Amino acid sequence: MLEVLIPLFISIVSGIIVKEINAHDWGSALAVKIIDHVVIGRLPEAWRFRLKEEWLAEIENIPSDFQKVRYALSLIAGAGRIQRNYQPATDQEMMDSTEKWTGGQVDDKAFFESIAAWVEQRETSSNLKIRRMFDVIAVIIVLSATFRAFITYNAHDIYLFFAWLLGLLGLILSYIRWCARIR
Amino acid sequence: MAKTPKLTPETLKVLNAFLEDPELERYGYELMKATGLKSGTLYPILLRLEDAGWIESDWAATEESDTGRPRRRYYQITSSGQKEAVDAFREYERELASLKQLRPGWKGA
Repeated sequence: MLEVLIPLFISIVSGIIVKEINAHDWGSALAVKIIDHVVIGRLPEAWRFRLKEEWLAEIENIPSDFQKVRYALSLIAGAGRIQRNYQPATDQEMMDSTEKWTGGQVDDKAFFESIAAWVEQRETSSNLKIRRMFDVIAVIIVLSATFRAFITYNAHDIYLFFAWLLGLLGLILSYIRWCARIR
Repeated sequence: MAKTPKLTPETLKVLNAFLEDPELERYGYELMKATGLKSGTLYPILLRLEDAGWIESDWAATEESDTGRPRRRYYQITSSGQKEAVDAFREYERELASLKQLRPGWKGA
């Protein structure tokens, strides 16, 4: 029984992972998450408006998913450098510069809402219902495969170990895409 | 008065990319490809050069259909930046020449 189940699990999990990797927006979703949660927090307050919008626009124009993620990861170190080079300006200089970078759009909430509306619009236009249905099925299959692989885990069985690793990776990728969608 | 930016080899690469066509407005990813620098290296340099007044930047003009989308930012070298950059390269050449005088057989890295 196990001889049949193991290749089955591996092929299902590998298929799901390939599907996740080929999904057209995982790179953008992950890169946006990195910028949102890691990079922006490292920047001086005065630069956040401008650089967030600039980097999000750049991500949209980078062709490969892996390059998008590389771009975002490299910005983590870049944000640290910007923070170190930053010299606080006077209050008036900060107001003037923020207004200049945002084109007068200094309302933080309005800015992020307009970006969220754009993401929502893009999602709606790409067969959202079908993609959600497939994602739910994918998560259920990956969960059961991971659970099965986990409870039968045996350090001497390399195939089960890889099935578990692949299942875990599939889950992580599904979670990232799911998080990006409900932002 | 704006501080003179630190002229590292990476900064010189960025300046060189701008000097290839000073009239051209370039965005970040384009400059990454032109210089071979990573985003984490490029943006601090761009901000330093902008702070010094050597380059300037502005948002791309948006059309009505793009409202709410993040806007791309374009960079261009200023006329004073061109002059400073050319001077920086001359200074770099002079330093290189003086190094060669110190070690006549040396051809550089």
